[in-house]
Amino acid sequence: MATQPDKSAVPDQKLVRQAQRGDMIAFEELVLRHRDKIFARAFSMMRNEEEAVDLSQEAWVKGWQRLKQFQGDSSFVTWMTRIVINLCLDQLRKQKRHRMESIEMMEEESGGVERQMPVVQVNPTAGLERAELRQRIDKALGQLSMEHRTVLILHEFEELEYKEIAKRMQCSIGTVMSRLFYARRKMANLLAGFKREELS
Amino acid sequence: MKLESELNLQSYLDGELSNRQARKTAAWIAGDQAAQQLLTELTMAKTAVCSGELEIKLPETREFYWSKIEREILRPQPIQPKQRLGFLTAWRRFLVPLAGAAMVTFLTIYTFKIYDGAEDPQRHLAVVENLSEHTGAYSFRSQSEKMFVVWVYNRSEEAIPEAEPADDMIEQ
Repeated sequence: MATQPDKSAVPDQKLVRQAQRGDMIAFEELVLRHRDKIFARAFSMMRNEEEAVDLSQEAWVKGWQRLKQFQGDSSFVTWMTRIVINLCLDQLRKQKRHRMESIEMMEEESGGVERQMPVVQVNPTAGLERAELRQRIDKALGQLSMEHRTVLILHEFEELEYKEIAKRMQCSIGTVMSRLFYARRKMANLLAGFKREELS
Repeated sequence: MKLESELNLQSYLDGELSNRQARKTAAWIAGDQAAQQLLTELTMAKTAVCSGELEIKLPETREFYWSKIEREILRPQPIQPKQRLGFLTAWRRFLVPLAGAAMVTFLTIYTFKIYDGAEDPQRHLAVVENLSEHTGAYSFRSQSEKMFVVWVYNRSEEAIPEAEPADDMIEQ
């Protein structure tokens, strides 16, 4: 039985070139290296472990099928992250069609509750350990609406500009701006609420 | 604070403004306490989220995770439906412009027919529109004079003068 060559020391760029020539072992090494990152992005958007696993696997399959289109303008992992984000957005759109959320949507576009919230003046994350901060951010993200969470992830985690987010979310730049604004306001208030809970 | 100002403040925070707009916004923030407080809150939220992404591990083993990906990659792609789709797509590509061209031709011929009919003086009289029960309109078109007149009138006003001669006639 032939053993697989060890590719753990081979840089991404070289692995990508090998995979583009059909080397599946090279591609498997890329999957091994970046699977957590791709899964984490899917999970942050979907908030469901099973869906995140499925979508991240689908992203890898698409990545393999489109590998020849990868020109190396960005890093391979960035390119793969874009693929999984697009798949998650498609999935979220499908799910949204099945939900009755006209009131939620109206409130979201007009600001709803977020406009009435007081401005948080004391940093509720000051002095927190990194692990604790991450837990709280994750908990707060989980309490946001799908639209608010997505816009935050695309802007803060993926560092996309308003224009690019609008393109991916298929909405106007104005909608991106208002969603981001309300998402941040809600996030600040949720974090302040966690701090109050901790103190009481 | 208006939403427009709030979003402008956010754009300033995200570096989405031009240099000129950013200078203008910075000057406004410097003189507005509410804007300063809002900027502080938005900055805190942005910084917290940026530095607070949870590091999540895939809950499956490498082999199990990869095996599904590998299976999908190695699965033969269905060729037959793709070819049929290609044929239909090719036909659609051909039929869509053809249908468009047919529609344009039909409309052109139809329009010419209408204008040919306009040469008939009797046809001018036929172009009378009844806008509503209160308002009426007559139109007159002369191809030779290159003239088109529309007379809009109030039916209620017209009804009175029409009634008067009739009364006169009864009296006579």
